[in-house]
Amino acid sequence: MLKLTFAAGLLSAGTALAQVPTLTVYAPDYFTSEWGPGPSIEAKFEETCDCDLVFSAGELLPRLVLEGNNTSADVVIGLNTDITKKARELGIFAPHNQDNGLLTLPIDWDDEIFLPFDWSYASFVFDTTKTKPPSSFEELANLPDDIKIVIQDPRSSISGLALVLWVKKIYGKDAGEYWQKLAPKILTVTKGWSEAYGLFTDGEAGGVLSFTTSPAYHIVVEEDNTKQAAIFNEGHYPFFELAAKVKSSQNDALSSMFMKFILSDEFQDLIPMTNWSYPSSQAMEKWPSVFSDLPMPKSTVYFSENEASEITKLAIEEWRNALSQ
Amino acid sequence: MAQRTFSIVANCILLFAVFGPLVVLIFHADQNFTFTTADREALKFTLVQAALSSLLSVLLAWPLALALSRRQFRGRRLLIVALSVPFILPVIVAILGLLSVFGNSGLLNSVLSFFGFRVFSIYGLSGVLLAHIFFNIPLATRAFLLALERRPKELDRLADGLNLNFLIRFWILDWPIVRLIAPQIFSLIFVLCLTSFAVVLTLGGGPKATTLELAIYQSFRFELDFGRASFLAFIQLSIAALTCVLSIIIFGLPLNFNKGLDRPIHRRYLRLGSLFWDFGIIIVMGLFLTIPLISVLIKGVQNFYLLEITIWTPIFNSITLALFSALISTILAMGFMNKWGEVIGTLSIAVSPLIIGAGLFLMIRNFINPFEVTFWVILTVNSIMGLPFAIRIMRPASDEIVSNFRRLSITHGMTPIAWFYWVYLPRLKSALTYSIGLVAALSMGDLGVIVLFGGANFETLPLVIYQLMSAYRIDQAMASAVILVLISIGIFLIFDRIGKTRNA
Amino acid sequence: MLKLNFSFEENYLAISANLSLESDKIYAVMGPSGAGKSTFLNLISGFSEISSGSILWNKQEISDLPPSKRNISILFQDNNLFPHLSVWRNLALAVSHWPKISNDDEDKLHSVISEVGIHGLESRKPSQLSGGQQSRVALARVLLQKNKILLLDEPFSALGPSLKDQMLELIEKIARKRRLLVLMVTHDPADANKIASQTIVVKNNKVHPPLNTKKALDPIKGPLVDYL
Repeated sequence: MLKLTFAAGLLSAGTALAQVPTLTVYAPDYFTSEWGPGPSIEAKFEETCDCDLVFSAGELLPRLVLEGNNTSADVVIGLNTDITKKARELGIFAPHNQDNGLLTLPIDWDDEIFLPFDWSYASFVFDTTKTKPPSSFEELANLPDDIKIVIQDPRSSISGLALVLWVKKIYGKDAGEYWQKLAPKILTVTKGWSEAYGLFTDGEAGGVLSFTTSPAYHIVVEEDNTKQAAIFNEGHYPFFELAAKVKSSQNDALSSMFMKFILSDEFQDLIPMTNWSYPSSQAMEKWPSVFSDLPMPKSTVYFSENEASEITKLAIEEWRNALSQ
Repeated sequence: MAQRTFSIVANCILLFAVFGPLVVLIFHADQNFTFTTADREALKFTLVQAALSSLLSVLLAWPLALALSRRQFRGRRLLIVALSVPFILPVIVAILGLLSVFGNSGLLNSVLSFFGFRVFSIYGLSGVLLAHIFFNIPLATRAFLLALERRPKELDRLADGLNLNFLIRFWILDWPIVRLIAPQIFSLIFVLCLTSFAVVLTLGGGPKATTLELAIYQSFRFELDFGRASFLAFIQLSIAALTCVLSIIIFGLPLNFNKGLDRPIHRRYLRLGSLFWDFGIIIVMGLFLTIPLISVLIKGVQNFYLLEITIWTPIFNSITLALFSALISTILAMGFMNKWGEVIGTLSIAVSPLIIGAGLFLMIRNFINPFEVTFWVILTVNSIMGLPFAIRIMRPASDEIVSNFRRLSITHGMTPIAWFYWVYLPRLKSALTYSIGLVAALSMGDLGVIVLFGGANFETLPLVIYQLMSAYRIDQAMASAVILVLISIGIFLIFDRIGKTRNA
Repeated sequence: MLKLNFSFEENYLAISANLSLESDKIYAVMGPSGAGKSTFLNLISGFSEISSGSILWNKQEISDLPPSKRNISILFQDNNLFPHLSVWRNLALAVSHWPKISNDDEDKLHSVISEVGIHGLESRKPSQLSGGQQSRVALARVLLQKNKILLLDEPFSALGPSLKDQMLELIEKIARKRRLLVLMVTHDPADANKIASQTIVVKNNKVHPPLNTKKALDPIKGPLVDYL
């Protein structure tokens, strides 16, 4: 096996010898995995770029911070909005130089550094064989006794954080009170999204904090129409996944080409069925029908980066206090 | 002398690989020594759950080990092997297994509600304890069992001859073993529970069930505050150290047994009452530990058809990684065959793999890019994580060899090499192979530092399971988890078999 | 000639000795439990270190040598054989630590095996032997070491009376043939009477010079009256 590892090393050295430039893209594990969008994106991009796109998987920001200016990353993909402020302050990213006007997001996007490549709305997904999905936070808190939901911890999960900010946006200073009201409905809180979703699909809970696009997976892959996202009248909190160019990259032309590629139809077409989310720069008419048929929230509630960073600590503390009682 | 030297080398390696990274990280980052109310509450809960979990695990494991040690029955070995499985399952899979029995829609609640009882909820402290007991009873049971099996059979025969009653028998025969094993196993389980957080949070039912590990994770991943992460890691390490030292102070030096030839197992006189008691324990505990596993197995096997051919690479990667790290752990462990070695070995798992990974990175980045040697970094961290288990498995056997045969070897004028070859290694063989088997099995299931260093170029089975779960493919993840378990059991059994064969 | 002139102190035990022993005699070592008989043997053989004084073997200082260099063999109360090794390997280790032993060494093993009468047991493990056979193998082992001093720390105490007598006879025969100095710790006056003409009494923190065994065991005036 060691031999194989070494052999693999030799192989990659061989491709380097072929004098094609390499574009190194840091991405999270779920992104580069066989079941994520990574492999097909790599194939599509390499068709036109005359280069070798290499994904390097792992934790993004801790790794970038550790590597500092010695990073070998040209592009980072898979960052989330909750961490953009910290990431921006690191000063290691360069402007993406793409036209934000091409984006088809529910909010205006004017960020020069971070470019969204997909998005979705936070939402509670329910098993409709157990209950009809509620249509507001109030209804959520008043679900029948035997229907419980699973959420994620905002301290260890970005979707968990999105929920806390969402509730904060809707309820303001009464957020703590709402959490107390919701507490009996919450079966448990998990470390990350996958644990929570696992509990849900296993039948342990009737609903789970996930995304409005999650039911698409069940419809497409499992031909299961019983999983539905609850659409709340109050509006939904959007969740963006971002890419950024690394300042120290020696491959500026290639990086720019990739950023441009992100907004192209070739890339955007891949997103729905591999990342189970909405494309970030594509009109709804071009989406697969499963996605355009999904119920869409009527309005969007959102904290700007600065608002969010001011309020996050407080919102998490309110959440913690309410659920710790 | 040669052993001393090896011991010093092994200690240095560990210090370099575990405490080095922590110290480097503390000094690298901007120091941040804030300790919030939330941290204090997390700490309080951590201590309570860890203490209760380890106490209950030890208390429940003892009767089980005793029963298993004195009963022979069909399927006994299979049961003992099955006992190690909860420990090697990926966390989420183990949780799903537990919930299939104890969850809201689990077996137990279905039965209860069928008979008209109220549905109960395991979420809360009880859930945390239940899960930790589920994970750790097997560990404690194996440790007790190993000691019981090494107890000179002559002692049992003597007790039978004297017709000792239950209490005296416990005092004379069993208590020395409890005293020998319980403190070590208690502190090991304590440290394991100290650092667990996905289980605690999920089964604890909410943020009041939080451990410091969550704060470390949060600081590291989301706040990028390495100073605070390493400060909290340091506190966690101090608590672990305190526990280990306290258990040594309270229980003192472990006793040891001296005499005993390798006689075949003697069947003792069995009273009917104790027969019911023993099998009662074995059945109840056996069901508790195996039903969740069986439910995982069923779910996984049903979904085998979803498995893809690409799973072979991670399987090979995981097996390679597991075998190498088990071998390294076990060899290194021979340098820690004393009480302080045991403490240091245990402390090494009190440092979060994220911290070790990050610190190691800082230490070696001037020489080599750690992300290009993923295999070696993961191997290093996995070997460290396996070390305390290897030490605990081998130390009692090692002590016994030294106390029984050192003098005889000296009269033979044996050199360290001759001693190692003729006496130490063959006498240690069964503990040694058990250690390799168990650590390999543990390492198979360990996601560990690969999350930080992981990746596209080196995928392990646990990583694939994690990726599958992130991609909604929970059924396929369960199937892969079952593959993982089967391979782990296979490795474990192979080494167990090797250990059981007697030298020609 | 073994000249002992030393003292030893430890937490719970202090003994001093000043005596000379002849090279080809069998001595019994007797005394109350806990007086330090085993410690006395350990000091001679080097498993414990004397606090001060000297141990001279044929005028050579041996107290600073490791146990294997002292020309001394010792049989303990237990653990005289490696349970995981065959009889043959247990004996072979006394002559060489290499897995393969020379033809010369093989011959030595064969001759000792017939000397102590354990023919045909070579491939067995110690646990497959009777107590008497184990004692014989252990004895064969020390004989192979060719040391001139043999210390017996009650190795036969677990044997039945007739087996024990057989072993004592064997020891006496071999000791005479090989001109060994034997020190034998025992609790049983019969053992002493049987093969030891002289007895060393260990009592009151002191190793007393050898006495005629009859005198030492005298039921009225002997030094061991209280103890016997």
